[in-house]
Amino acid sequence: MSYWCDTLGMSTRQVDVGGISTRIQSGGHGAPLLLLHGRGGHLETWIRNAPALAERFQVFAIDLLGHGLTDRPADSRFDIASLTRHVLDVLDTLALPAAHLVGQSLGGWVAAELALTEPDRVDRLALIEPAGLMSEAERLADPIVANKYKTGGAAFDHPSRQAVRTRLSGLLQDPSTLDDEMVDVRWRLYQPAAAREVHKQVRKADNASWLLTLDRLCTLQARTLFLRGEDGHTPQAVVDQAIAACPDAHGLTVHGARQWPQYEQAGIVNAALIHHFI
Amino acid sequence: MSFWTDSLGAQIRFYDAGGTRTRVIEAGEGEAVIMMHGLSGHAESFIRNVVPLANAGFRAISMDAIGHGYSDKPLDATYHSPLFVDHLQRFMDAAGIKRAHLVGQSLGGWTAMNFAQRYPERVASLVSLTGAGILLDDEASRKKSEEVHNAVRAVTQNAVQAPTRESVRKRLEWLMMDPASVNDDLVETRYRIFTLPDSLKAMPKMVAEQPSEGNRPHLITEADLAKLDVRTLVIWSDRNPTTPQEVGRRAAELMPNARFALVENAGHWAQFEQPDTVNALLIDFLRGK
Repeated sequence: MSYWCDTLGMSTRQVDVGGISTRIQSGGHGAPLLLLHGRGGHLETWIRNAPALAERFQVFAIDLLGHGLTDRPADSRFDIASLTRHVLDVLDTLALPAAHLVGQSLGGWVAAELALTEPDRVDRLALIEPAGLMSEAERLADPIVANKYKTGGAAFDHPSRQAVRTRLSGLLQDPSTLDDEMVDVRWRLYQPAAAREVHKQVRKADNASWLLTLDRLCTLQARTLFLRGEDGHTPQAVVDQAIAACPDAHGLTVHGARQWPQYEQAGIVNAALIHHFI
Repeated sequence: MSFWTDSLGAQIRFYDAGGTRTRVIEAGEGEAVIMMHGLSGHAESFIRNVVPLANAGFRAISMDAIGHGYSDKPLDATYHSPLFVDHLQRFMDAAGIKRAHLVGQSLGGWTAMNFAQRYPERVASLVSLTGAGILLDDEASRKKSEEVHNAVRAVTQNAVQAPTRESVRKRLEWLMMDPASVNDDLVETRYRIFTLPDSLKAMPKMVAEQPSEGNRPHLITEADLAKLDVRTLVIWSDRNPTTPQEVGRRAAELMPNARFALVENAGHWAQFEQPDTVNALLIDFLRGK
Protein backbone atom coordinates (compact mmCIF):
# COMPACT_ATOMS: atom_id res chain seq x y z
CA MET A 1 0.00 0.00 0.00
CA SER A 2 1.32 3.39 -0.93
CA TYR A 3 -0.53 6.68 -1.15
CA TRP A 4 1.35 7.65 -4.30
CA CYS A 5 0.81 4.38 -6.14
CA ASP A 6 -2.79 3.93 -5.02
CA THR A 7 -3.74 7.28 -6.57
CA LEU A 8 -1.68 6.97 -9.78
CA GLY A 9 -3.71 8.19 -12.74
CA MET A 10 -5.77 10.55 -10.55
CA SER A 11 -5.03 14.25 -10.31
CA THR A 12 -4.46 16.30 -7.15
CA ARG A 13 -4.81 19.99 -7.91
CA GLN A 14 -5.09 23.35 -6.23
CA VAL A 15 -8.27 24.84 -7.70
CA ASP A 16 -9.28 28.49 -7.31
CA VAL A 17 -12.71 28.30 -5.66
CA GLY A 18 -13.95 31.87 -5.44
CA GLY A 19 -10.54 33.07 -4.38
CA ILE A 20 -9.89 30.13 -2.03
CA SER A 21 -7.14 27.83 -3.28
CA THR A 22 -8.68 24.43 -2.66
CA ARG A 23 -6.92 21.06 -2.88
CA ILE A 24 -9.02 18.62 -4.88
CA GLN A 25 -8.14 15.07 -5.81
CA SER A 26 -10.12 13.66 -8.69
CA GLY A 27 -10.37 10.68 -10.96
CA GLY A 28 -12.73 8.36 -12.76
CA HIS A 29 -15.82 8.77 -14.91
CA GLY A 30 -19.51 8.61 -14.18
CA ALA A 31 -21.83 10.37 -11.78
CA PRO A 32 -19.98 13.02 -9.73
CA LEU A 33 -19.32 12.11 -6.10
CA LEU A 34 -17.76 14.40 -3.49
CA LEU A 35 -15.90 13.10 -0.44
CA LEU A 36 -15.85 15.39 2.63
CA HIS A 37 -13.51 14.57 5.51
CA GLY A 38 -13.96 15.20 9.23
CA ARG A 39 -12.62 17.61 11.85
CA GLY A 40 -8.89 18.18 11.61
CA GLY A 41 -8.87 16.04 8.48
CA HIS A 42 -7.73 16.21 4.86
CA LEU A 43 -8.47 14.37 1.64
CA GLU A 44 -6.13 11.48 2.47
CA THR A 45 -8.93 10.37 4.82
CA TRP A 46 -10.31 8.65 1.69
CA ILE A 47 -7.08 6.96 0.54
CA ARG A 48 -8.74 3.53 0.73
CA ASN A 49 -11.95 4.70 -0.96
CA ALA A 50 -11.31 7.32 -3.64
CA PRO A 51 -9.39 5.00 -6.03
CA ALA A 52 -11.99 2.22 -5.66
CA LEU A 53 -14.93 4.62 -6.09
CA ALA A 54 -13.21 6.19 -9.13
CA GLU A 55 -13.80 2.91 -10.98
CA ARG A 56 -17.55 3.69 -10.92
CA PHE A 57 -17.88 7.46 -10.37
CA GLN A 58 -16.21 10.76 -11.11
CA VAL A 59 -14.72 11.20 -7.65
CA PHE A 60 -13.63 14.44 -6.01
CA ALA A 61 -12.01 14.34 -2.57
CA ILE A 62 -11.49 17.85 -1.26
CA ASP A 63 -9.75 19.55 1.63
CA LEU A 64 -12.49 21.51 3.44
CA LEU A 65 -12.14 25.24 4.02
CA GLY A 66 -9.11 25.89 6.25
CA HIS A 67 -8.12 22.22 6.26
CA GLY A 68 -5.24 20.33 4.68
CA LEU A 69 -3.80 22.40 1.83
CA THR A 70 -6.90 24.52 1.25
CA ASP A 71 -6.57 28.22 2.10
CA ARG A 72 -7.43 29.51 5.56
CA PRO A 73 -9.18 32.86 5.05
CA ALA A 74 -8.47 35.12 8.03
CA ASP A 75 -12.06 36.39 8.21
CA SER A 76 -13.78 33.00 8.27
CA ARG A 77 -15.56 31.69 11.36
CA PHE A 78 -15.12 28.11 10.13
CA ASP A 79 -18.64 27.28 11.25
CA ILE A 80 -21.01 24.92 9.45
CA ALA A 81 -22.40 27.71 7.26
CA SER A 82 -18.90 28.76 6.08
CA LEU A 83 -17.78 25.20 5.40
CA THR A 84 -21.02 24.44 3.55
CA ARG A 85 -20.78 27.59 1.46
CA HIS A 86 -17.28 26.54 0.40
CA VAL A 87 -18.52 23.11 -0.73
CA LEU A 88 -21.30 24.81 -2.72
CA ASP A 89 -18.63 27.02 -4.33
CA VAL A 90 -16.64 23.88 -5.16
CA LEU A 91 -19.68 22.45 -6.99
CA ASP A 92 -20.04 25.74 -8.89
CA THR A 93 -16.34 25.91 -9.76
CA LEU A 94 -16.34 22.32 -10.98
CA ALA A 95 -19.52 23.16 -12.97
CA LEU A 96 -21.42 20.31 -11.32
CA PRO A 97 -25.19 20.93 -11.29
CA ALA A 98 -25.51 18.23 -8.61
CA ALA A 99 -23.46 15.47 -6.99
CA HIS A 100 -23.59 12.58 -4.58
CA LEU A 101 -22.04 13.54 -1.25
CA VAL A 102 -20.19 11.36 1.23
CA GLY A 103 -19.20 12.99 4.50
CA GLN A 104 -17.50 11.70 7.62
CA SER A 105 -18.02 13.39 11.01
CA LEU A 106 -17.83 17.16 10.38
CA GLY A 107 -17.96 16.44 6.63
CA GLY A 108 -21.20 14.51 7.19
CA TRP A 109 -22.73 17.51 8.92
CA VAL A 110 -21.67 19.77 6.04
CA ALA A 111 -23.05 17.29 3.48
CA ALA A 112 -26.39 17.10 5.27
CA GLU A 113 -26.50 20.89 5.63
CA LEU A 114 -25.95 21.32 1.90
CA ALA A 115 -28.65 18.75 1.12
CA LEU A 116 -31.09 20.62 3.42
CA THR A 117 -30.36 24.11 2.12
CA GLU A 118 -29.59 23.35 -1.55
CA PRO A 119 -31.64 20.23 -2.26
CA ASP A 120 -31.30 20.61 -6.03
CA ARG A 121 -27.50 20.31 -5.81
CA VAL A 122 -27.38 16.99 -3.93
CA ASP A 123 -28.37 13.65 -5.44
CA ARG A 124 -27.82 11.09 -2.70
CA LEU A 125 -26.09 11.29 0.65
CA ALA A 126 -23.93 8.95 2.67
CA LEU A 127 -23.18 10.09 6.22
CA ILE A 128 -20.41 8.27 8.05
CA GLU A 129 -20.50 8.87 11.82
CA PRO A 130 -21.89 12.34 11.08
CA ALA A 131 -21.45 15.17 13.56
CA GLY A 132 -24.41 17.46 14.27
CA LEU A 133 -26.87 14.85 15.49
CA MET A 134 -26.15 15.88 19.08
CA SER A 135 -25.09 19.15 20.68
CA GLU A 136 -21.49 19.43 21.89
CA ALA A 137 -22.70 19.27 25.51
CA GLU A 138 -24.65 16.06 24.89
CA ARG A 139 -21.75 14.54 22.98
CA LEU A 140 -19.15 15.32 25.60
CA ALA A 141 -21.35 13.99 28.39
CA ASP A 142 -20.12 10.54 27.31
CA PRO A 143 -16.83 10.07 29.23
CA ILE A 144 -15.26 7.97 26.41
CA VAL A 145 -16.02 10.68 23.83
CA ALA A 146 -14.81 13.39 26.21
CA ASN A 147 -11.54 11.53 26.72
CA LYS A 148 -10.95 11.06 22.96
CA TYR A 149 -11.76 14.74 22.47
CA LYS A 150 -9.13 15.72 25.03
CA THR A 151 -6.34 13.31 23.99
CA GLY A 152 -7.04 13.84 20.28
CA GLY A 153 -6.99 17.61 20.71
CA ALA A 154 -3.45 17.55 22.12
CA ALA A 155 -2.20 17.27 18.52
CA PHE A 156 -3.43 20.85 17.94
CA ASP A 157 -1.24 22.16 20.78
CA HIS A 158 1.82 19.95 20.38
CA PRO A 159 1.87 18.45 16.90
CA SER A 160 4.46 15.73 17.55
CA ARG A 161 4.26 12.49 15.56
CA GLN A 162 3.15 10.76 18.75
CA ALA A 163 0.33 13.23 19.40
CA VAL A 164 -0.86 12.83 15.81
CA ARG A 165 -0.67 9.05 16.13
CA THR A 166 -2.73 9.23 19.34
CA ARG A 167 -5.37 11.39 17.62
CA LEU A 168 -5.65 9.03 14.65
CA SER A 169 -5.61 5.94 16.87
CA GLY A 170 -8.66 7.32 18.68
CA LEU A 171 -10.61 7.00 15.42
CA LEU A 172 -9.94 3.28 15.12
CA GLN A 173 -11.19 0.19 16.89
CA ASP A 174 -7.84 -1.48 16.19
CA PRO A 175 -5.11 1.19 16.24
CA SER A 176 -2.53 -1.35 15.01
CA THR A 177 -4.10 -0.97 11.54
CA LEU A 178 -3.00 2.69 11.36
CA ASP A 179 -0.39 3.11 8.61
CA ASP A 180 2.70 5.29 8.96
CA GLU A 181 2.00 7.32 5.84
CA MET A 182 -1.26 8.63 7.35
CA VAL A 183 0.59 9.69 10.51
CA ASP A 184 3.30 11.34 8.43
CA VAL A 185 0.89 13.22 6.15
CA ARG A 186 -1.13 14.55 9.06
CA TRP A 187 1.98 15.40 11.06
CA ARG A 188 3.22 17.52 8.14
CA LEU A 189 -0.15 19.21 7.64
CA TYR A 190 -0.33 20.11 11.36
CA GLN A 191 3.07 21.81 11.46
CA PRO A 192 1.93 25.36 10.58
CA ALA A 193 0.55 27.07 13.71
CA ALA A 194 -2.16 28.65 11.53
CA ALA A 195 -3.41 25.19 10.50
CA ARG A 196 -3.78 24.11 14.13
CA GLU A 197 -5.49 27.40 14.97
CA VAL A 198 -8.19 26.66 12.36
CA HIS A 199 -8.81 23.25 13.91
CA LYS A 200 -9.25 24.88 17.32
CA GLN A 201 -11.65 27.41 15.77
CA VAL A 202 -13.62 24.60 14.15
CA ARG A 203 -13.96 22.99 17.56
CA LYS A 204 -15.01 26.21 19.23
CA ALA A 205 -17.40 27.39 16.50
CA ASP A 206 -20.95 27.90 17.69
CA ASN A 207 -22.88 25.58 15.41
CA ALA A 208 -26.01 25.34 17.52
CA SER A 209 -28.20 26.90 14.83
CA TRP A 210 -27.29 24.19 12.30
CA LEU A 211 -27.79 21.14 14.50
CA LEU A 212 -29.35 18.26 12.58
CA THR A 213 -32.47 18.14 14.69
CA LEU A 214 -35.28 15.68 13.96
CA ASP A 215 -37.40 18.62 12.78
CA ARG A 216 -34.82 19.48 10.18
CA LEU A 217 -34.07 15.90 9.18
CA CYS A 218 -37.71 15.23 8.33
CA THR A 219 -37.29 17.69 5.43
CA LEU A 220 -34.21 15.92 4.02
CA GLN A 221 -35.21 14.93 0.50
CA ALA A 222 -32.05 13.12 -0.57
CA ARG A 223 -31.93 9.35 -0.21
CA THR A 224 -29.51 8.91 2.67
CA LEU A 225 -27.32 6.10 3.98
CA PHE A 226 -26.16 6.41 7.59
CA LEU A 227 -22.97 4.45 8.29
CA ARG A 228 -21.92 4.01 11.88
CA GLY A 229 -18.95 2.21 13.34
CA GLU A 230 -19.70 -0.59 15.75
CA ASP A 231 -17.77 1.36 18.41
CA GLY A 232 -18.58 4.79 17.00
CA HIS A 233 -19.13 7.81 19.20
CA THR A 234 -22.75 8.42 18.26
CA PRO A 235 -25.09 6.12 20.20
CA GLN A 236 -27.10 3.67 18.10
CA ALA A 237 -30.35 5.14 19.46
CA VAL A 238 -29.45 8.63 18.20
CA VAL A 239 -28.67 7.33 14.72
CA ASP A 240 -31.84 5.23 14.69
CA GLN A 241 -33.94 8.29 15.61
CA ALA A 242 -32.32 10.27 12.79
CA ILE A 243 -32.99 7.49 10.27
CA ALA A 244 -36.61 7.29 11.38
CA ALA A 245 -37.03 11.06 11.00
CA CYS A 246 -35.62 11.23 7.46
CA PRO A 247 -38.13 10.59 4.68
CA ASP A 248 -35.80 8.24 2.77
CA ALA A 249 -32.94 6.90 4.88
CA HIS A 250 -31.50 3.62 6.01
CA GLY A 251 -28.53 2.62 8.12
CA LEU A 252 -25.65 0.21 8.31
CA THR A 253 -23.50 -0.58 11.33
CA VAL A 254 -19.96 -1.49 10.30
CA HIS A 255 -18.33 -4.06 12.54
CA GLY A 256 -14.66 -3.76 13.42
CA ALA A 257 -14.76 0.04 13.23
CA ARG A 258 -15.03 3.14 15.41
CA GLN A 259 -15.11 6.64 13.83
CA TRP A 260 -13.29 5.78 10.59
CA PRO A 261 -15.12 2.78 9.08
CA GLN A 262 -14.15 3.97 5.58
CA TYR A 263 -10.52 3.37 6.54
CA GLU A 264 -10.74 0.47 8.94
CA GLN A 265 -13.27 -1.54 6.89
CA ALA A 266 -12.77 0.03 3.48
CA GLY A 267 -14.00 -2.97 1.49
CA ILE A 268 -17.34 -3.10 3.31
CA VAL A 269 -17.86 0.65 3.14
CA ASN A 270 -16.90 0.91 -0.54
CA ALA A 271 -19.37 -1.85 -1.44
CA ALA A 272 -22.11 -0.17 0.61
CA LEU A 273 -21.42 3.21 -1.04
CA ILE A 274 -21.42 1.79 -4.57
CA HIS A 275 -24.67 -0.05 -3.85
CA HIS A 276 -26.23 3.10 -2.39
CA PHE A 277 -25.23 5.40 -5.25
CA ILE A 278 -26.03 3.08 -8.18
CA MET B 1 9.76 8.98 3.46
CA SER B 2 7.27 8.18 0.76
CA PHE B 3 6.62 9.73 -2.66
CA TRP B 4 3.33 11.13 -1.33
CA THR B 5 4.86 12.88 1.66
CA ASP B 6 7.96 13.95 -0.34
CA SER B 7 5.70 15.79 -2.76
CA LEU B 8 3.01 17.04 -0.38
CA GLY B 9 2.10 20.52 -1.60
CA ALA B 10 2.79 19.69 -5.24
CA GLN B 11 -0.02 19.21 -7.74
CA ILE B 12 -0.37 16.13 -9.91
CA ARG B 13 -2.24 17.30 -12.97
CA PHE B 14 -2.85 16.84 -16.66
CA TYR B 15 -2.48 19.36 -19.47
CA ASP B 16 -3.78 19.06 -23.01
CA ALA B 17 -0.53 19.69 -24.87
CA GLY B 18 -1.98 20.30 -28.32
CA GLY B 19 -3.84 17.00 -28.32
CA THR B 20 -1.36 15.06 -26.17
CA ARG B 21 -2.62 14.49 -22.62
CA THR B 22 0.40 15.23 -20.48
CA ARG B 23 0.88 14.47 -16.78
CA VAL B 24 3.03 16.69 -14.61
CA ILE B 25 4.05 17.08 -10.99
CA GLU B 26 4.02 20.83 -10.40
CA ALA B 27 4.54 23.24 -7.51
CA GLY B 28 5.34 26.86 -6.82
CA GLU B 29 5.21 30.17 -8.62
CA GLY B 30 7.89 32.09 -10.45
CA GLU B 31 10.09 31.42 -13.45
CA ALA B 32 9.27 28.01 -14.91
CA VAL B 33 11.73 25.15 -14.47
CA ILE B 34 10.79 22.10 -16.55
CA MET B 35 12.36 18.79 -15.56
CA MET B 36 12.48 15.97 -18.07
CA HIS B 37 13.21 12.31 -17.33
CA GLY B 38 15.08 9.67 -19.30
CA LEU B 39 14.05 6.84 -21.64
CA SER B 40 11.24 4.73 -20.11
CA GLY B 41 11.17 7.13 -17.14
CA HIS B 42 8.39 9.26 -15.69
CA ALA B 43 7.81 12.44 -13.71
CA GLU B 44 8.59 10.70 -10.40
CA SER B 45 12.28 10.74 -11.43
CA PHE B 46 12.29 14.30 -10.01
CA ILE B 47 9.98 13.66 -7.04
CA ARG B 48 12.73 14.82 -4.64
CA ASN B 49 13.40 18.02 -6.58
CA VAL B 50 10.03 19.59 -7.43
CA VAL B 51 9.08 20.86 -3.95
CA PRO B 52 12.61 22.07 -3.02
CA LEU B 53 12.78 24.09 -6.27
CA ALA B 54 9.28 25.46 -5.64
CA ASN B 55 10.35 26.48 -2.13
CA ALA B 56 13.30 28.31 -3.71
CA GLY B 57 10.88 30.50 -5.68
CA PHE B 58 10.34 28.71 -8.97
CA ARG B 59 7.38 27.19 -10.79
CA ALA B 60 8.83 23.69 -10.76
CA ILE B 61 7.38 21.15 -13.17
CA SER B 62 8.38 17.56 -13.79
CA MET B 63 6.62 16.19 -16.86
CA ASP B 64 5.92 12.80 -18.38
CA ALA B 65 7.31 12.89 -21.91
CA ILE B 66 5.11 11.73 -24.78
CA GLY B 67 5.02 7.92 -24.76
CA HIS B 68 5.89 7.84 -21.06
CA GLY B 69 4.24 7.67 -17.62
CA TYR B 70 0.61 8.77 -17.70
CA SER B 71 1.02 10.94 -20.79
CA ASP B 72 -0.48 9.84 -24.11
CA LYS B 73 1.47 7.22 -26.04
CA PRO B 74 0.57 7.52 -29.73
CA LEU B 75 1.34 4.54 -31.96
CA ASP B 76 1.38 6.58 -35.18
CA ALA B 77 4.47 8.55 -34.16
CA THR B 78 8.20 7.91 -34.52
CA TYR B 79 9.96 8.16 -31.17
CA HIS B 80 12.97 10.14 -32.34
CA SER B 81 14.25 13.38 -30.82
CA PRO B 82 12.04 15.79 -32.86
CA LEU B 83 8.89 14.17 -31.40
CA PHE B 84 10.01 14.92 -27.83
CA VAL B 85 11.07 18.46 -28.80
CA ASP B 86 7.71 19.08 -30.44
CA HIS B 87 5.84 17.71 -27.41
CA LEU B 88 7.79 20.00 -25.07
CA GLN B 89 6.92 23.00 -27.23
CA ARG B 90 3.22 22.08 -27.23
CA PHE B 91 3.31 21.50 -23.46
CA MET B 92 4.86 24.93 -22.83
CA ASP B 93 2.14 26.54 -24.95
CA ALA B 94 -0.58 24.65 -23.03
CA ALA B 95 0.89 25.61 -19.65
CA GLY B 96 1.26 29.26 -20.66
CA ILE B 97 5.05 29.17 -20.42
CA LYS B 98 6.84 31.43 -22.89
CA ARG B 99 10.33 30.78 -21.61
CA ALA B 100 11.65 28.13 -19.22
CA HIS B 101 14.74 26.76 -17.57
CA LEU B 102 15.10 23.22 -18.89
CA VAL B 103 16.54 20.45 -16.72
CA GLY B 104 16.96 17.26 -18.70
CA GLN B 105 18.20 13.96 -17.41
CA SER B 106 19.46 11.37 -19.92
CA LEU B 107 16.94 11.43 -22.81
CA GLY B 108 15.50 14.61 -21.25
CA GLY B 109 18.92 16.28 -21.65
CA TRP B 110 18.99 15.34 -25.31
CA THR B 111 15.49 16.81 -25.76
CA ALA B 112 16.51 19.98 -23.89
CA MET B 113 19.58 20.56 -26.09
CA ASN B 114 17.71 20.01 -29.34
CA PHE B 115 14.89 22.23 -28.08
CA ALA B 116 17.41 24.97 -27.27
CA GLN B 117 18.81 24.73 -30.81
CA ARG B 118 15.37 25.00 -32.37
CA TYR B 119 13.68 27.48 -30.00
CA PRO B 120 16.53 29.48 -28.41
CA GLU B 121 14.19 32.33 -27.45
CA ARG B 122 12.15 29.98 -25.24
CA VAL B 123 15.06 28.69 -23.14
CA ALA B 124 16.19 30.76 -20.15
CA SER B 125 18.90 28.28 -19.26
CA LEU B 126 19.73 24.63 -19.70
CA VAL B 127 20.83 21.86 -17.35
CA SER B 128 22.03 18.58 -18.80
CA LEU B 129 22.06 15.98 -16.04
CA THR B 130 23.92 12.86 -17.17
CA GLY B 131 22.36 13.95 -20.44
CA ALA B 132 22.15 11.78 -23.52
CA GLY B 133 22.50 12.90 -27.10
CA ILE B 134 26.05 14.31 -27.04
CA LEU B 135 28.26 13.00 -29.86
CA LEU B 136 31.94 13.92 -29.73
CA ASP B 137 34.05 13.88 -32.91
CA ASP B 138 36.77 11.39 -32.04
CA GLU B 139 36.44 7.79 -33.08
CA ALA B 140 36.61 6.35 -29.55
CA SER B 141 33.76 8.58 -28.38
CA ARG B 142 31.63 7.66 -31.39
CA LYS B 143 32.17 3.99 -30.70
CA LYS B 144 31.34 4.46 -27.03
CA SER B 145 28.17 6.36 -27.94
CA GLU B 146 26.94 3.46 -30.08
CA GLU B 147 27.78 1.00 -27.32
CA VAL B 148 25.79 3.08 -24.83
CA HIS B 149 22.78 3.14 -27.17
CA ASN B 150 22.92 -0.62 -27.59
CA ALA B 151 23.30 -1.19 -23.85
CA VAL B 152 20.41 1.16 -23.01
CA ARG B 153 18.18 -0.52 -25.56
CA ALA B 154 19.01 -4.00 -24.27
CA VAL B 155 18.50 -3.24 -20.59
CA THR B 156 15.30 -1.25 -21.24
CA GLN B 157 13.77 -3.80 -23.60
CA ASN B 158 14.08 -6.42 -20.91
CA ALA B 159 12.06 -4.24 -18.55
CA VAL B 160 9.28 -3.13 -20.91
CA GLN B 161 8.60 -6.49 -22.57
CA ALA B 162 6.46 -8.60 -20.22
CA PRO B 163 7.30 -6.44 -17.20
CA THR B 164 7.39 -7.95 -13.76
CA ARG B 165 8.15 -6.16 -10.50
CA GLU B 166 11.45 -8.02 -10.51
CA SER B 167 12.46 -6.96 -14.03
CA VAL B 168 11.44 -3.38 -13.26
CA ARG B 169 13.47 -3.38 -10.05
CA LYS B 170 16.48 -4.76 -11.95
CA ARG B 171 16.31 -1.98 -14.57
CA LEU B 172 16.05 0.62 -11.79
CA GLU B 173 18.98 -0.86 -9.85
CA TRP B 174 21.06 -0.55 -13.02
CA LEU B 175 20.45 3.23 -12.83
CA MET B 176 21.67 3.67 -9.29
CA MET B 177 25.04 3.67 -7.62
CA ASP B 178 23.45 2.03 -4.59
CA PRO B 179 20.75 -0.57 -5.39
CA ALA B 180 19.20 0.29 -2.03
CA SER B 181 18.23 3.69 -3.53
CA VAL B 182 15.48 1.81 -5.39
CA ASN B 183 12.54 1.92 -2.98
CA ASP B 184 9.16 0.20 -3.14
CA ASP B 185 7.30 3.35 -4.25
CA LEU B 186 9.60 3.64 -7.26
CA VAL B 187 9.30 0.00 -8.28
CA GLU B 188 5.52 -0.02 -7.85
CA THR B 189 5.07 3.27 -9.74
CA ARG B 190 7.12 2.05 -12.67
CA TYR B 191 5.55 -1.40 -12.64
CA ARG B 192 2.06 0.11 -12.79
CA ILE B 193 3.10 2.42 -15.63
CA PHE B 194 4.75 -0.37 -17.62
CA THR B 195 1.68 -2.57 -17.27
CA LEU B 196 -0.80 0.09 -18.45
CA PRO B 197 -2.52 -1.14 -21.64
CA ASP B 198 -1.16 1.77 -23.69
CA SER B 199 2.37 1.26 -22.32
CA LEU B 200 2.36 -2.40 -23.33
CA LYS B 201 1.49 -1.31 -26.86
CA ALA B 202 3.71 1.73 -27.26
CA MET B 203 6.78 1.24 -25.09
CA PRO B 204 8.41 -1.64 -27.01
CA LYS B 205 8.09 0.47 -30.17
CA MET B 206 9.50 3.52 -28.42
CA VAL B 207 12.39 1.63 -26.87
CA ALA B 208 13.26 0.13 -30.24
CA GLU B 209 13.11 3.48 -32.04
CA GLN B 210 14.60 5.96 -29.59
CA PRO B 211 18.12 4.47 -29.31
CA SER B 212 18.17 3.42 -33.00
CA GLU B 213 20.28 4.32 -36.02
CA GLY B 214 17.45 6.48 -37.37
CA ASN B 215 17.65 8.81 -34.36
CA ARG B 216 21.45 9.29 -34.53
CA PRO B 217 21.24 12.18 -37.04
CA HIS B 218 19.60 14.12 -34.20
CA LEU B 219 22.61 13.74 -31.92
CA ILE B 220 24.33 16.96 -30.86
CA THR B 221 27.77 17.22 -32.42
CA GLU B 222 30.81 19.23 -31.33
CA ALA B 223 29.94 21.82 -33.97
CA ASP B 224 26.39 22.08 -32.59
CA LEU B 225 27.70 22.47 -29.05
CA ALA B 226 30.06 25.27 -30.09
CA LYS B 227 27.04 27.22 -31.40
CA LEU B 228 24.76 26.50 -28.43
CA ASP B 229 25.37 29.65 -26.41
CA VAL B 230 22.54 29.33 -23.87
CA ARG B 231 23.66 29.54 -20.24
CA THR B 232 24.25 25.89 -19.33
CA LEU B 233 25.14 23.69 -16.39
CA VAL B 234 26.35 20.18 -17.18
CA ILE B 235 25.98 17.87 -14.18
CA TRP B 236 27.50 14.42 -14.19
CA SER B 237 27.79 11.72 -11.58
CA ASP B 238 30.92 9.76 -10.71
CA ARG B 239 29.20 6.37 -11.12
CA ASN B 240 27.10 6.95 -14.23
CA PRO B 241 26.39 3.58 -15.90
CA THR B 242 26.03 5.09 -19.39
CA THR B 243 28.21 7.85 -20.81
CA PRO B 244 31.48 8.60 -18.95
CA GLN B 245 31.92 11.98 -17.23
CA GLU B 246 34.65 13.00 -19.71
CA VAL B 247 31.93 13.47 -22.34
CA GLY B 248 30.05 15.89 -20.05
CA ARG B 249 33.24 17.77 -19.22
CA ARG B 250 34.14 18.08 -22.90
CA ALA B 251 30.62 19.27 -23.81
CA ALA B 252 30.83 21.99 -21.14
CA GLU B 253 34.22 23.09 -22.55
CA LEU B 254 32.89 23.25 -26.09
CA MET B 255 29.77 25.24 -25.20
CA PRO B 256 30.46 29.00 -25.05
CA ASN B 257 28.49 29.59 -21.84
CA ALA B 258 28.61 26.36 -19.85
CA ARG B 259 30.13 25.00 -16.69
CA PHE B 260 30.52 21.49 -15.31
CA ALA B 261 29.74 19.99 -11.92
CA LEU B 262 30.42 16.46 -10.70
CA VAL B 263 28.17 14.81 -8.12
CA GLU B 264 29.78 12.05 -6.09
CA ASN B 265 28.20 8.81 -4.95
CA ALA B 266 25.49 8.70 -7.57
CA GLY B 267 24.64 6.63 -10.65
CA HIS B 268 22.48 7.78 -13.56
CA TRP B 269 19.93 9.43 -11.24
CA ALA B 270 22.00 11.92 -9.28
CA GLN B 271 18.86 14.00 -8.64
CA PHE B 272 17.28 11.03 -6.85
CA GLU B 273 20.30 9.51 -5.12
CA GLN B 274 21.86 12.80 -4.00
CA PRO B 275 18.88 15.19 -4.03
CA ASP B 276 20.30 17.72 -1.54
CA THR B 277 23.50 18.16 -3.54
CA VAL B 278 21.71 18.40 -6.87
CA ASN B 279 19.01 20.75 -5.54
CA ALA B 280 21.68 23.10 -4.17
CA LEU B 281 23.52 23.05 -7.53
CA LEU B 282 20.30 23.70 -9.42
CA ILE B 283 19.07 26.50 -7.17
CA ASP B 284 22.42 28.34 -7.32
CA PHE B 285 22.54 28.00 -11.08
CA LEU B 286 18.90 29.00 -11.63
CA ARG B 287 19.40 32.07 -9.46
CA GLY B 288 22.16 33.13 -11.80
CA LYS B 289 25.04 32.34 -9.47
